[in-house]
Amino acid sequence: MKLLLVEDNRRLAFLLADALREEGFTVDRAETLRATSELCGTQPYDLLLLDLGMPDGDGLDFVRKHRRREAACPILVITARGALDDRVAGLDVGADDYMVKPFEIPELAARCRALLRRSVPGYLPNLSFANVTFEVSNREVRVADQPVSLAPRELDLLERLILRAGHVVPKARLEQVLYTLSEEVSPNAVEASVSRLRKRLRQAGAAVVLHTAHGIGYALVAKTSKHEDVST
Amino acid sequence: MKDRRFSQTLLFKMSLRMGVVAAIFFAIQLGAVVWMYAHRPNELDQLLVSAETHRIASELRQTSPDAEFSVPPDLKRPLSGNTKRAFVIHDHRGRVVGRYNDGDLRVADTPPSSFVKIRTQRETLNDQFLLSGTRRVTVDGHPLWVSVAILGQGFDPFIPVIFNEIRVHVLFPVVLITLLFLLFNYGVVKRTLKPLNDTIETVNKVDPTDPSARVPSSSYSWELRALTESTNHMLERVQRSMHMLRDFSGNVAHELRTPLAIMLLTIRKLPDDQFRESLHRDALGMRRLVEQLLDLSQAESLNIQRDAARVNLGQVAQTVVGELVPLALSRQRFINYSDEGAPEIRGHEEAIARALRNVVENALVYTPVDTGIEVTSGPGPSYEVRDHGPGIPQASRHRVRERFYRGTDEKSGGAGLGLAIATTIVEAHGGRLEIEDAADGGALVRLTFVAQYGKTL
Ligand SMILES: Nc1ncnc2c1ncn2[C@@H]1O[C@H](COP(=O)(O)OP(=O)(O)OP(=O)(O)O)[C@@H](O)[C@H]1O
Ligand SMILES: [Mg+2]
Repeated sequence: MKLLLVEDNRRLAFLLADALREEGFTVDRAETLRATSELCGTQPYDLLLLDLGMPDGDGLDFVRKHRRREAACPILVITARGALDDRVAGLDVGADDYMVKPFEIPELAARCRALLRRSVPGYLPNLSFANVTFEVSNREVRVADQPVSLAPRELDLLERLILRAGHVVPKARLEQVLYTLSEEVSPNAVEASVSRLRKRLRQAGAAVVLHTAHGIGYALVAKTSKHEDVST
Repeated sequence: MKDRRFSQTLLFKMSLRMGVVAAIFFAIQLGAVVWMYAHRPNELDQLLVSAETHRIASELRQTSPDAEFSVPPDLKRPLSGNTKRAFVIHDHRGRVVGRYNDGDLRVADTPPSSFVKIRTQRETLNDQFLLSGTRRVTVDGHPLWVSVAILGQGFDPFIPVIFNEIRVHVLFPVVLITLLFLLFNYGVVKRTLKPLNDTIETVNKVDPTDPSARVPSSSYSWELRALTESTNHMLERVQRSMHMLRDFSGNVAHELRTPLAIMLLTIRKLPDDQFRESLHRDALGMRRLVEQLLDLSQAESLNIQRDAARVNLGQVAQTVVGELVPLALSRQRFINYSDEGAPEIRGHEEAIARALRNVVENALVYTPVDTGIEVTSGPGPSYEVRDHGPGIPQASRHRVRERFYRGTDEKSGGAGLGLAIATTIVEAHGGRLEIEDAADGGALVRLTFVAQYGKTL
């Protein structure tokens, strides 16, 4: 996957590009909006990482113009502005996602993958978290490299949860997943599936815990020694 | 200027000056009266004769219609030490109905012709004067003619007349004018000064942290307009410099973000040992400080009236709690969320999320390991966050909201801005942040919003 990193601070750009390459991306760099336009015209990028504060123009204007282009690749905006800034709200205009500096690389990489998954057909990276791997191509689950068989519902749940590993997936979202599988879903279908999935993962020796966030949803989190007895 | 003493007010000072002016006026008037009579003795003569005849007329009592008038003893007293006096009273038929003579003075015994109303005459004998005159008076509805003769010396006999003149022509008008002045002062001047008092009140009410208040411009007079204008001007300059200060801290935080990002990425490249670990922790602490500073600076410039949108409090809480669950789990704490049906309010969604997030973060720091915290949204436009930690003692409930206040323990490792941010945001929404003791121990922090804040605008 080919990314274009637009960042005027050379040191930050260098470090970011390096970190993203470690995550398996191909990264080009641009230091001005003009260079960005030229590169976008000649090279097929899958994703644009754009710092809003560029020296030669307004980043938001660039986003808007870019949007109007045909076959425009998605944009992930990097901003140094605060979350309460009006301009961040303005990102809804055209950016696909944004992150506030300074950020953690794994989080940035995860957001990039999520965007690519939506926009690039056939981009199916393996989803993995701790010692659990979800192979998207053949929908196979492995725990510590040993295949584990799961029922379709549990498979779908796990896919949702591992996509947002470390975050809470609202219960309503998981209910939607189950509804697409069958028309009739009992009120506590999610609870039932979750507890089955939880049991299967534990039996398989997964180093993850399927946590219930009361009143909100569920989260797949890495196991700590304490979790053993509270997660059920 | 707290104590408003009346003797210090403009109203009092103006009244005082008006009083002085009235006194000067009185003195001038007095001088004028004295000067005038000293130069025109004729008038004094007339006045004295008139005063005497009227005094006589008012004291006379008739016992029966056709009887002679008796002269009461009061009338027999001389005007002053060396004065002699005589009078004769005629009725309309020319009859003498009363007389008195304390010397052998000549008084016109012939009845005056009936049309005579006023007649005064002066003769000078050596150093004495003889005044004689007739006045027509009315007693009990009947016309009478009183003729008097006064033999006297010097100025003394005139003193009572002059006093009377002063009383009627000087004292009375001056007192009246003074009273009118004071009344005018109280009514008009007080009203005139009212905008001034209003200005003082408005300026006193200006919030030192947000001098956005303006004195309503008065159209009453140029002076007041000038005053309100220059007051507003000053307030504006104060406001501008405060904004500059606030924006400055925001800008500093903003400028620090890129170097911090570089620092964090560079630390990743260091060999994995305890130094990297502690360096990383320090960098994260710095990142926290920068983020909190930026949030505070932006929270302070929130204007909910201007850019409010509909906010679903329940949904915001769910998002915030959802985002914090991983943090809670990594610290072996739990969050229980319950939605009791908070209504939709008008506000800034991201800001409300920040406020709640800061409060929940605190609860997660202070609740003991393996305990949970309870986050509730509603009922009503409010959030409640309770933990099972030590709670916040009554004495420091106010101070914990101050900027950079971090309590005594170093436990939180935070910037000391969380509750300041939350309070600022909640108050910008017209609401309030309350800190209490939870029923079963621990802190209970309640964020209350106003359902329809700024709706009318
Ligand atoms: N739930 C709580 N229980 C006990 N003490 C608390 C609680 N919440 C806040 N405090 C006290 O109030 C102080 C101020 O809290 P505040 O959130 O403003 O700053 P902080 O948490 O230290 O830093 P940060 O800006 O990173 O949030 C804390 O340092 C702590 O002493
Ligand atoms: Mg805090």
